Amino acid sequence: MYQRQVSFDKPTRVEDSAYIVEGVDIKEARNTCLLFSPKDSSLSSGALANILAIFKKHDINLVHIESRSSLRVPGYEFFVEADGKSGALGKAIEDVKEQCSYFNIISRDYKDNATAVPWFPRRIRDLDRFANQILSYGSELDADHPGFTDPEYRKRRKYFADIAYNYKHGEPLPHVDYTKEEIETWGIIFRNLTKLYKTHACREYNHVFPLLVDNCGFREDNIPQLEDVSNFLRDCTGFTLRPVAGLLSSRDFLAGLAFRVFHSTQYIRHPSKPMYTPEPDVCHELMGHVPLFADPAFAQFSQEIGLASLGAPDDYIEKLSTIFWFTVEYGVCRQEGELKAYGAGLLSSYGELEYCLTDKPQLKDFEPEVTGVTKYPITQFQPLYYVADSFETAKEKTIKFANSIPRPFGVRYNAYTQSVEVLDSKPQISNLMDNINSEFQILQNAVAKLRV
Amino acid sequence: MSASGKSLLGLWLYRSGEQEWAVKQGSPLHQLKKDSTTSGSSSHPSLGRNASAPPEPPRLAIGGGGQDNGRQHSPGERISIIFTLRNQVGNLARALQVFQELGINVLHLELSPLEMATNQADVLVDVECDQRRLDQVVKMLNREVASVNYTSVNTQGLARAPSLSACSSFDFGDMVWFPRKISDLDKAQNVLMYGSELDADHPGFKDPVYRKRREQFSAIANNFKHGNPIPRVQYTPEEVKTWGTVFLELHRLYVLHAVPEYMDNWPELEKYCGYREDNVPQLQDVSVYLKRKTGFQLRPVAGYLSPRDFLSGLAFRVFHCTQYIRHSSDPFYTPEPDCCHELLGHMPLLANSSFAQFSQEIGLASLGASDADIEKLATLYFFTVEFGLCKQADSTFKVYGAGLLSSVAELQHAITAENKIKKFDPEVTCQQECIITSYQNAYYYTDSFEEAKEQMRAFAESIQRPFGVRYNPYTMSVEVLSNAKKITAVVSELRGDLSIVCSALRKISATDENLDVDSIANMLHNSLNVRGGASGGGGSPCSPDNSDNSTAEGD
Repeated sequence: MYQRQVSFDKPTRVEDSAYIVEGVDIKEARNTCLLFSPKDSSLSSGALANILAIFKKHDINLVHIESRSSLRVPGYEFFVEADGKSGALGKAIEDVKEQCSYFNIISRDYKDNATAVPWFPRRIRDLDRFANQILSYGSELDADHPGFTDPEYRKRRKYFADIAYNYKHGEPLPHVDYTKEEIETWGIIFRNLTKLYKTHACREYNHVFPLLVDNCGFREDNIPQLEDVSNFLRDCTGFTLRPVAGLLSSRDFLAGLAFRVFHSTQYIRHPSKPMYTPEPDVCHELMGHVPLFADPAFAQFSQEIGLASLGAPDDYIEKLSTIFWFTVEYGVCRQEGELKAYGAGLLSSYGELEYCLTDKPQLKDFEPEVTGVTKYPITQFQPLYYVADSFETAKEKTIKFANSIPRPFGVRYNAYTQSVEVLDSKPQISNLMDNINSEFQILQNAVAKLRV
Repeated sequence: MSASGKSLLGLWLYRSGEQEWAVKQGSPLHQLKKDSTTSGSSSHPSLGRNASAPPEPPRLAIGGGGQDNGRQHSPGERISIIFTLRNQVGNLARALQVFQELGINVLHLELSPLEMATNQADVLVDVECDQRRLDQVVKMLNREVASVNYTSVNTQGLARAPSLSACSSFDFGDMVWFPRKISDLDKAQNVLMYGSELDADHPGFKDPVYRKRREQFSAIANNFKHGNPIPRVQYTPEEVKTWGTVFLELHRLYVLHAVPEYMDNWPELEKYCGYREDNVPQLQDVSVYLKRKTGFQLRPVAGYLSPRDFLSGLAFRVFHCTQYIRHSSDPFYTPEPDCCHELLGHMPLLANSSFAQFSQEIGLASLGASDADIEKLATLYFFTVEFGLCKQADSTFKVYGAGLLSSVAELQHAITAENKIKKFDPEVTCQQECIITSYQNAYYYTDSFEEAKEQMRAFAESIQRPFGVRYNPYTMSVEVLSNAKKITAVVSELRGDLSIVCSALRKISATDENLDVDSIANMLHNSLNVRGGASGGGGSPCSPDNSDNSTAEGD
C-alpha cells in the first residue's frame, strides 16, 4: 500500500506501522532527467556539443540522449538522462541552465534542487523500475509478524517476492498453485465477508461480485489467479494488475494508478490469524479492491488520484495518499438514503465492515482539501469516515484538487499508447482540444439519433 | 507495364456483384460458399417473426447505475450454419423447430433459393451455442434437411439499416454483425483471394517453392489469435534481395515525393524496426513500435480481406498486414499487397497520430453499416490511404497513399498527371471508379490530414445507423451509444478531460507570454457549445468548469 513520505537511505519500516518508505540510494532511481532547449538551438550550431562538454567537464555519465523538434520555441530540444551518482550534477545543471531558454528537471532525488519536479513514469513500461524498491522488505518479515516463526511461511513469502521482482510489463502474471492451507485461510475469510456484502457493500460492488464469481473463479474453495482477474478488469475498465512483493512507497503506488495499473500482492496472511493481516494480502486485494476497479466511474476516480500524483511535491503526495486512504481504502457512500461501504480496507475486513456502519464512528462529507490533511490510525478501526455522494462527484472534486497542485504542467493519460502526456505547450493543448472536440461531435451525433 | 501495389481487389469483386466470392476450398476457415447476388433475398413471409432475431446477447454490462440488461446469458460461440432444404415450406418449419427444441438462440436468418427446378433452398442461420449443443443440432438437422455445413467464422449477410420507427426498443438484431471487442477480430477474417492459392496468372504460380512459401505465411495468419505475438519469419536470401531491390528504388523517390509526415518516422523505423535494404523487418517489431506511437497494432492476414472486415479492424486501430513478399521474377509488380506494400507504404504513416486517427474514423464508420455504405467507405479508403495526395504550403503535391508509396511506376505517374488531381470531397470521391490493373483515372488531394479527418467524420455521420459508436481505448472495445445512460458516461469522461485542459492552460500562460489566450479560449467555448447540444439531448445535467485564463480559481 502506501505510507507518508519520509526519506531514508534504505527502504525502512516506520515505527508503529506496517509500511515502508522508499530508499533513495537505489542506482536506477537516482537517474535525473533533464529537458531543455539551448538558446541557440539549431543543431548545426553545435549547441548540443557545447552542453555535452559541460557534462564531461563535471564528469557526468549520460544514460540517454534524445532530441526532437521543439514544440515551444523554434529549433530543437533535448531530453537527457544522467546518472545521478556520478560527478557534480548540481553544478552541471547550473551551467547548462545558463545556456538554455527552457529548462526542466525531473528527478527522484529532487530535494537538492528547488526547481526540480519529482521523477514520474511516462510509459507503462516505466513501472518496471519500481520492482526493487521493496525487495528488502517483501521477503523478510518483522519479528512481530504472525508468520515470523514459521519457516515454511517465510519460504513461501520469498517465493511470492521473487515472482514480483522478476515481473516485467506485458508478461502474463505467473500462475500460483496455492496450498491447501492457503485455500482454507481464504475460504474462512470469503465465507464471513460474503455474508455481509449484500447489506453493507455499495451497489456497484454487489453488481460486479457475481461476475467475478462467474468469470474468475471467486469461490470459498478457490483462490483466483491474478492473470484471470487482470484480464477481466481490462475488459471492464482497462485496469490491469501487476504483482508486487509487499509495500510500495505512496508515490510509486499512486503512479501506477495513473496508468490504470494496480499493484497487487499474491501472498496470503498467516493461517494462525485469518482475521488479521499486518499488510495487504491477496484477500485484501481481490475481495477489497478488485470488484470496484471493474466499475467505470470508480476506475476513473482512482486514475485521477494517480494522475494527480505525477510530479507532485512531497506534501501533496502525502495529501493524495490520505485522500486515497479515506476513499479507496476506507470510503463510505450514501445510496438511496443508506450508508454503504466502498473502501477496500472495509470490504476485506469483517470486523471493520460491521463497525463502519454503526453509530460509533464520526461521519463527514468528502472534501479533498479537508480529507487530505486528516490524521488517521493504522492499527485500529477508523474513528472517522468520509462520505462520498457518488464516484462521479468524488472524481470531480479530486480533479479540482489536482489542478491546485503546484506543477508547471498538466498531465493527461493517452490510453492508445499507454503513456502520460505532459501538457506544457500550446500545440499539445491544441491537439488535445481537437480530440475532445471530435469526442463531442460523436456524442452530438449519437444524441441526434436518439431523438429521432 | 501494369501498376503494382494494388490493394482491396476484393472491392472489385464486391462491386461487380456478378462473381462468386473467391473463397478457397483448401482454407480451414472457409468451408462456406455463397453467392453475393442471391444472399440476403427476402425471407419467406411466414417466417417474419423468426427472421427478426433477438438482439446480440448482452456483453458484460458494468455501469455505475447498475445493470443495463436484466437478462443473463451463458456465453456461447456465434456460429453460422448453412443447410439445404429438401422443399421450401414444410422443411424449413421443421428445421427451425430443431433450434427451438434445443433452446438455441437464433440471431439471424437468411433464405436464398438455390435451384428452381428442384425447389431446394439454402438457409443461413446465425446461432449462439456451445460445441456440445452444436453437435446435437447438426445431427437433428441432418435428419430433416438435405445437407448441413457450419463454421464459427461469421459470414456477412446483406442487411438494411432498419427504420427507427420500427425499432422503438433499438432492437438491432437484423443489423450486420460487427466486432465489439478487439478479440472479436479473430472472427472477422474473410480472405477473398490469394490466401494460400495463387491464380494462374500470378507471377509465382509456376514456382513450387514460392507457392509452398505462401502456404507457410497463410498458416501463420490463419493460426493467429489476438494477444499472441506475431511469429517471426526467417526470410530467405532471395526474399531479402527482392525486398532490397524495391527498398532502394523507392527510398530514392521518397525524398522527393513523400509527405513530410511520412519521412518524419523513417529514422525511428530504422532504429527500432530494422528498416534496411538488407533486412526485411519483422511485423512484431513494427507492431510494438506502432503501439507505442499511436496505439495501432498489426495482425497477420493471409491475403485480401473483405472490405468490411478490413475496415472493422481499423476501428480498433488494428491493421491487417501480410507477411509474404512478391515473386522475385518481377520485383516491381505484385497483384496483391505484400510486405513491401505494407511496410514501406502503410507503416510510416500509421505512426503519425493525426493519420492514425483518420484511419480509425474510417473504420468506426464501417461498423454496422450497409453494404452500399461499406462500398463507399472502401472507395474513400482507396483514394486516401492507398492513393491519396496532400497539398503542401508551396502548392506542390506530395504523396501519402500507400499504394503510391510502394509502387515505383504509379508514384511517378501520379506526381506528373496533374490533370487527374482533384480536391478530396467524400461525396464525390466515393463515386470514383477504382482501377485495379492500370493507373487511376483520378487522384485526390487534401490540404491536411486534419481536413480529411473532419470531412470523413461529417461523411460518417450521414451513414444510416440508429446508434453512434465510440471506441474505448481503455478496454479496446467499441461502445454502442444507444441510450442516454451510455452517453452520460462518455460526457462524464470528457468533462474530466476539459478540466485538465483548463488547468494546463493556466499553468502554461504563467510561463509563456506568447500564449494566444483568446484563440484557445474560443476553442473551449466552441467545444462547450457542442457539448451543450449533446448534453441537452441526452438529458444529462452538466456543470462545466467554465474558467479560463481570465479568472483565477484558488491558484
